[in-house]
Amino acid sequence: MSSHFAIDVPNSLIERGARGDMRAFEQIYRLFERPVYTLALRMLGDADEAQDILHDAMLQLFRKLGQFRGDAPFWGWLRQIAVNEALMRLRRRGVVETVDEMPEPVDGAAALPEHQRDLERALNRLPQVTRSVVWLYHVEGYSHEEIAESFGKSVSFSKSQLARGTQKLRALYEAPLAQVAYA
Amino acid sequence: MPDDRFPTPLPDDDRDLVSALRALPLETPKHSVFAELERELAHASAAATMSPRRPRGAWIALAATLVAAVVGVRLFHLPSGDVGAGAAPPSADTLALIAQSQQLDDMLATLDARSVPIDAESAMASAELEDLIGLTDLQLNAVRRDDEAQALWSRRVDLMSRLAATRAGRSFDTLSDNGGASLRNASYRID
Repeated sequence: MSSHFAIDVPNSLIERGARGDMRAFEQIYRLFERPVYTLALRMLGDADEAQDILHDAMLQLFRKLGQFRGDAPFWGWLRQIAVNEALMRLRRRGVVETVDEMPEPVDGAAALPEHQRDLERALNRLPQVTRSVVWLYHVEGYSHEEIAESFGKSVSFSKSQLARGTQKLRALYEAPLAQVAYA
Repeated sequence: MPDDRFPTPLPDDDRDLVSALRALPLETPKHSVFAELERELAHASAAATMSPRRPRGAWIALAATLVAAVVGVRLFHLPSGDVGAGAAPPSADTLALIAQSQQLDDMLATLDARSVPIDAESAMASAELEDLIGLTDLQLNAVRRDDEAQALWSRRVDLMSRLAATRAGRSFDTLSDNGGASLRNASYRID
């Protein structure tokens, strides 16, 4: 499992959080702060909005903690809350456009190795929904069925977005290399 | 000897691209939001202890009215020497946000009056937004400074806009028998 969310949380900690124990909730928050933020950043491509999603998702987590039944991993349940919050934000935006401009590197990108910085830039140039599908499938391990359900779309939508998104990502990633190589 | 001046070329295989994606490090938020969450949850807990919960729709309408009145009174008529001494009246920006919030209240009332059935996903999203609006209203009840009030009113307008968009979008989907296309406006393309 490649997802950064895949963290085992003791049942006792979840139960304490469900009873309103703020210290337990804080421990859960600290465990998942960066995975939630990173997922939101990859889906939305904006640090401020990712921060908002972190806030809203964690608030939802606390409010819904008593509803967690334990029939699936806790981290997957929390991840779905974060995905739903990010999708709600995308939905609120209404129109999702192709990003033509090369955006500024996201937080911390300047400190990354060059190939990772190039990949982040290429990822950020994908349209938001396409980028979300690519990330959820390739990195988070979502199935096409799960993506289709989350987006309220068909499985073929997920498959086509993934195929075209991956192809586009490769092209965007390789383009700067070609420019450098032939300069 | 490898040339370190150039980034690592990406092999043609998708597997390598996926590996590179998975190798991207976790990002760190600018600041922790836990303290903010703790405050909001404490406010909500205190309010829940003090008063029974009203039905959502009525709660929002009542809260908006009361909060507008309370904030207006506090900001305009704080007695000198109070905690709010020196507090300025609501700025033009704050008043504009209050007016905008009231317009959104009216819009939501109109949407509610249409009584269009909504699906479970939309209902859940609406309920969550209403809860967040409720939390914001609770914070507004305790606010004393204009800059704080302005930030909270801005958040309320944002949440109300999301709620209106959710309800309006779902109403449209239902009326047009569009099958719940959650991202129906996503007119993006990849060329």
